[in-house]
Amino acid sequence: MNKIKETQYASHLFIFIMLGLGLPLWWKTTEVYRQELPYKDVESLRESFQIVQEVRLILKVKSINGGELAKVIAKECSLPGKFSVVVTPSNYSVEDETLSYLALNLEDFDASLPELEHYHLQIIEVDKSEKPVVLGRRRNLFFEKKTSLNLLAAVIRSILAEEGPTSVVNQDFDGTSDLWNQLSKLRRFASSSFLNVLFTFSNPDPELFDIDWPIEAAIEEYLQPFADNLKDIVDIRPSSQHIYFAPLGVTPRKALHGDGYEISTDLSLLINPLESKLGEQVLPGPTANLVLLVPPARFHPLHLKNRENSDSFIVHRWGGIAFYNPPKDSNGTHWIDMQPVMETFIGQLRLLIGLDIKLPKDVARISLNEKAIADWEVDYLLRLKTIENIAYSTKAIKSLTALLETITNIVISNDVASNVSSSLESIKKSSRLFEKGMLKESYKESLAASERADAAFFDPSMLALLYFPSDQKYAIYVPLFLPVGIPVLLSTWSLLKSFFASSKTEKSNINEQKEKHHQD
Amino acid sequence: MLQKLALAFTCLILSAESSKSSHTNNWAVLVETSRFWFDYRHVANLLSIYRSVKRLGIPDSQIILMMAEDIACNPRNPRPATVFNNAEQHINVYGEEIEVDYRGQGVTVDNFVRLLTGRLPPETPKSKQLLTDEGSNILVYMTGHGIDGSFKFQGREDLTDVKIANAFREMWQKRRYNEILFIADTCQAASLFQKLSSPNILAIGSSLVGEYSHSHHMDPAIGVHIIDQYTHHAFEFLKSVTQDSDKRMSEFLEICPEKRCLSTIGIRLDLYQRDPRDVKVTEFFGTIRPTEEYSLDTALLKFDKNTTTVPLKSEKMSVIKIQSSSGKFQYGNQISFPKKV
Repeated sequence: MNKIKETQYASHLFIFIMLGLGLPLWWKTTEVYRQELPYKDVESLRESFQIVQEVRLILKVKSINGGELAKVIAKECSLPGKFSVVVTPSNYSVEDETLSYLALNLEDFDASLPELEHYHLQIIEVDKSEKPVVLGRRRNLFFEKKTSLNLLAAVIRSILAEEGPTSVVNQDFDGTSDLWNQLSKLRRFASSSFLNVLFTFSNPDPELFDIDWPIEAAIEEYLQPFADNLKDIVDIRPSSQHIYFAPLGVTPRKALHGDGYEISTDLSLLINPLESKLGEQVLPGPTANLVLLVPPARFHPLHLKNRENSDSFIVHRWGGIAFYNPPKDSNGTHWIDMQPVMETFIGQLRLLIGLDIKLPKDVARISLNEKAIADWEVDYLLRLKTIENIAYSTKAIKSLTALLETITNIVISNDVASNVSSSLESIKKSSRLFEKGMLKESYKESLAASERADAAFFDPSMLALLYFPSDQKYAIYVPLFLPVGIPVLLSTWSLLKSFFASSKTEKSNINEQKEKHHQD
Repeated sequence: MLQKLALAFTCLILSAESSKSSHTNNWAVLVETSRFWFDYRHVANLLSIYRSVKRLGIPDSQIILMMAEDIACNPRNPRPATVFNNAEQHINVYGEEIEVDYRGQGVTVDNFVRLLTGRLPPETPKSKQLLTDEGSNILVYMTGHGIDGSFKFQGREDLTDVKIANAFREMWQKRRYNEILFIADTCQAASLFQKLSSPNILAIGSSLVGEYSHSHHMDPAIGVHIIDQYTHHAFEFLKSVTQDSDKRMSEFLEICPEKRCLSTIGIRLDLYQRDPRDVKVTEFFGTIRPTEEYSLDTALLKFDKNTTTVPLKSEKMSVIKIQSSSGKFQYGNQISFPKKV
């Protein structure tokens, strides 16, 4: 009897250890590490961009009723749910009068006006201008007394990025939507904190053409002022190189009009033979390739089919290529005049970062000097890219949290959780700042939001246990636990049997005793 | 300028209107996972597709080539540095210019899934990353040994159909592709795409579940099979395709009938929204590079600064000196002599 009791106690202990300690321990230690994510907050983020931007304009008039005009402009340019435009009317101050008198032309006037602090744009009436509306280099818009109100409102709406950009960003890539804005979106580089710009000079016949380009000087003189103006938006990192013996991908044909040769085929065929020699993958991050191509000697001079253009073309999201036909007679090293070359390259770079503003006819612009960008264009880019970043990061963290909720065996590390939370915070902050019209600050926050969202989505640790689905889990652990488990189960079974048997004998004992007593 | 740009883009859209293509760039992910000399045919398969795709325009920077066995430099290769896909040795598919991104032991399930989902470690070079965006059409071609529901990597690891489906699902979540053409030339290839659920994927397998895929012919000179049936026919078909060819995907889907290939082609069209008769073959095997002519708006950009050039000419020599206005960079100061006639 004793021995049976001993074995029974031993079985109890084994069962307790295996089921009471072992099973919970195994369950806990094979749990996938999943940090808590703010699922509810992320779900409450709205997919489409629904922030009401506040825009503050100041109107300076000379000879018309400022108050009335201000009210009409505010009404015309406000978009319910998107833009709330506030126009403050005022008359020319004494300072303005003096500046206007002293200025030789509109360009001077534009340059001499004081810097705006509280307002996004200054709308100034002038006596006479070459076109009904003239846009300055800073944040000034000039109009005449006879300018139509519709034109004025249309121009202001274009500058504020009211149509177009916002509508494109929210949609999934859809080839049938607004052609113009689709084109602009396909062309420009995705929003990022920096952009490498690689200037390449390609000379296929160096033994015949002794040409060189003073690229460091050109970058310092022409690119640097442009990059300085863009430093709030994107950090431009220039580099340059020479490549030799790169073949021309196509055979040009003799020009139909004029002398020389022209490219009649698809321009994209020129890119591949060039691209293998560029080595742009060495530069980390997005890179714009600006290539100055000297055509092979037997195809001089070479132009594009449509001769009115400047012999250059843009490749979407890649860069631009320009031809350079060296003059026939040159003694010694021919140094390229960089001004027209850089004008072309910087013009292409402007389009590649998204400066493609559709302005109505009858609008003139004061020409840009080597700054190459107007202050109101910087604001336009800030608006466009902030909207893009907020939409992008919202989509990213929403799809990430949806993914993590459905696939339950992905590891969610601390890094991922903190990136998601901080991205969420940045989105909210950026939206609040954008509503107040604080463009630079809201852009910075939105950039941080999209970088964190990407860091969270593409975190390498998330794949750690992904290919360890639950059915494979059983396949691994069953051979480990079953040899130990079977004797324990069998002893459990015998324990139960003996328990029921003993309770039966107890019952029958009790019944016997009852009967005995009964009989007594 | 606005009108010209609009015209150029409209032409781009109109030329594609017939097949309603909506992609802006093309990528190819070509994977071969078998080791050892006797799987020569898998490497020949891979390189045949690689050559076709390169010829039709996709640059190396947009091709990810994963090759587990280096057949060309294998000590058993009697013709070193060459790989042929035909016993008559017509074409050396290894070629002179080849860029292998993942080789040998680097071809693993982990790397492959990380490549597709974009979760590679941040220090990975750009040439090893799949840098696609929402407008990319991707050709994913896999060849090697397969069984029902999985694909063997290096003879040890398994890439299951669930993993493939999850990877594509994550790619769609992040909009890392516009359309995918998934081709598998393995045994029981159709089982690999059974679990797919993401949209815009056209999947082709060289055999159905329960069938083997067969090789085409053996090269008696080297004693190994040199190419598989499906890829042989695909390569022959692609030979007739040029960059501006109008051949449609519906023709490509018919290339390997059972009486010739000995196995039945498995096709999955339910996830693909377009009709293959409207889709050109070059939309997956070729490339598109949107370009537009640029005309300088001279009224807008007018630089004032000019680097100083000081030319000094004499009969005997010319001296040119260029310097930037800050004086920091100076060029020239070269003395050159006029060319002798």
